[in-house]
Amino acid sequence: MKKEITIAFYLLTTLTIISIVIYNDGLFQKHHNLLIAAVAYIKIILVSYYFMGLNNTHSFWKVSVTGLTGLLLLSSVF
Amino acid sequence: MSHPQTKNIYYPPGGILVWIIIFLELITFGMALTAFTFSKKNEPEIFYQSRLQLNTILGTINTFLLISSGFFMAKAVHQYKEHHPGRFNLFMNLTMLGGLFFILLKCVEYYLKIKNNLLIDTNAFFTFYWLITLFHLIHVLVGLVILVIIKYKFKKQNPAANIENLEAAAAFWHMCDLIWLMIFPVLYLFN
Repeated sequence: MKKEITIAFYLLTTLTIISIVIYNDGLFQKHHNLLIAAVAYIKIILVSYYFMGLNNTHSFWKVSVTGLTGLLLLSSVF
Repeated sequence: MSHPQTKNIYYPPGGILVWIIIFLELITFGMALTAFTFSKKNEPEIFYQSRLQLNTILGTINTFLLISSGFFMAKAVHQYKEHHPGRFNLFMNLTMLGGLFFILLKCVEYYLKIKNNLLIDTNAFFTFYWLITLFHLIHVLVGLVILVIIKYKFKKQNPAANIENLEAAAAFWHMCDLIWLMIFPVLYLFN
């Protein structure tokens, strides 16, 4: 559990840096918003599952949180 | 008699009530961000130029602060469950420090906006910016107050200090992080 939290933290830090790289890099202009939203979604999953402890709960909560946040991010992209 | 494992499976950490609050807050902020996206389609140039006025560096630092604060909060809960009060206190202090720095940095950002006359009535973009980020900041402030109360109760070994209260406080704090993880890309990074 302790190790999972630490790994999740390092991944979150890395993903934040990746989103800034995508933001500044002209190479990703075509799918700019979608890529940044995808990175943000992965970060939300990591926080929900490993910081909030969603990985030890019933599927209903896992599906609800991931589904809701995914839908909300998607609606902000399109 | 409810089995702890069953309770763990059917009830999210902190209890159903705090998770209902989390869902409602996610929906509220999600709707605000969706409304922002729709408004952007009506005035794309104004929204684009206004977004360039936002300080991405400050926003990124704030993201790191909230992620770190969330990490320390998760560690604090873990240390409490492992019966390490010293480490629990340390991580709670680090959590609150992260939240405090977030608030201070946000105030700096707001000061710079006011100095440059980028106020709530400047244009539609900044109306959304001020409303969404201020509403989020209020949640961070409330979360910080909750953490202070929880820490005080645990210090005094108050009977109300139990793992469910701690997990509920932690869930609320992580919710602030979740919401910021939606706000930051939509307001600061999206083209």
